[in-house]
Amino acid sequence: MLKASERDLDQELVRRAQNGDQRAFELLVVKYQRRIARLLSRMIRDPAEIEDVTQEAFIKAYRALPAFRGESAFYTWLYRIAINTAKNYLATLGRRPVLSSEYEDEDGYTLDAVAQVADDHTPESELSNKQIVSTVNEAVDALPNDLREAITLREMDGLSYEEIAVAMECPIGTVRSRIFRAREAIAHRLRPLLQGVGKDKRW
Amino acid sequence: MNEKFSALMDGELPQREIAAVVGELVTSKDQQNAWYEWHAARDALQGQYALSPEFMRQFSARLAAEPIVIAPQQWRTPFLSKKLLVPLSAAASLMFVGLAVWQFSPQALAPQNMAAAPTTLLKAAEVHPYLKMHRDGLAGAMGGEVLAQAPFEVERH
Repeated sequence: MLKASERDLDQELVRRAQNGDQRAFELLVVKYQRRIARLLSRMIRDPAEIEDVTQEAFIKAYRALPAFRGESAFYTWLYRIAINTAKNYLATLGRRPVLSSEYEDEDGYTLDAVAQVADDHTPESELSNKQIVSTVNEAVDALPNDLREAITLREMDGLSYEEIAVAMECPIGTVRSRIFRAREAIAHRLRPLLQGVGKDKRW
Repeated sequence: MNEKFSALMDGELPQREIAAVVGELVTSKDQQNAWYEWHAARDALQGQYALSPEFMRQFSARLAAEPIVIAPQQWRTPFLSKKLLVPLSAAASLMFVGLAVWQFSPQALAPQNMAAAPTTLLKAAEVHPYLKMHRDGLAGAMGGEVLAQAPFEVERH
């Protein structure tokens, strides 16, 4: 059985966006918005500017979508656009990028715990983001052991279903089911918070 | 919502199912909401950057103002994957090299060998009007110089 990779998923969404489906592109933005914002936070300090440049980078990516042929992963392509957008933005302001020592690579895997909640967000957004993080953590803690272990191995340790099946000594189908049920339980707790902060309409 | 959608997010769905499940995702508001919630949870667990709650709504408003992009399909299809392209390009390269070697080898250029090579012989009476027409037409297009000198040989009977 040939498994679809993350790249295959992105490719399918990009293909649909290239055929005029803006919703498909929004789904890519939902997926990558925080990774791109974290990348840009290594170059720009102000949170409002980070959000503006993140939005600008995604808009530039959307405009350039006809030129994307899938020769590289979508995130790699997006990464380059985001970096160039930030450089251009800083150049117009006559500023130089403020590079963190932990500069994320184009695969986005260089982690920095400080990035969890930016220090100088507005009080309102900082509160809501802290609430989201604490709600997710509480939801994970409240899961039955087998669901908690499965979702933790997947989301925090990045293990494949096969690796999780070996670690938990259970069939892959059971892993798939546990991860799904864990996500449903976490989302159930998170939903009211996301609806509240998004004023009933997220996107 | 189902397990397939969750597996899609993890890159654990069979490849043959991906188009159908993504097709459901782009048309189902419930699945899109789940996509948003599941990614918010994933990013929170992974310690990703915390954007303001309004980010996505503001972005969608900006995107809606953009012209719809339509791109010609230039993707590599599974049928033209590397597995197929490598032997094809290798075969094409070998054919090219073989042809080049044969064309410029002394044996190939030698008149006696050309005469010995099995060829389809054409009668001059059949070919001359055809070649004359080409000569006249091309000579006119190219200033009437180059092709006037171009030799061609026809087996005469």
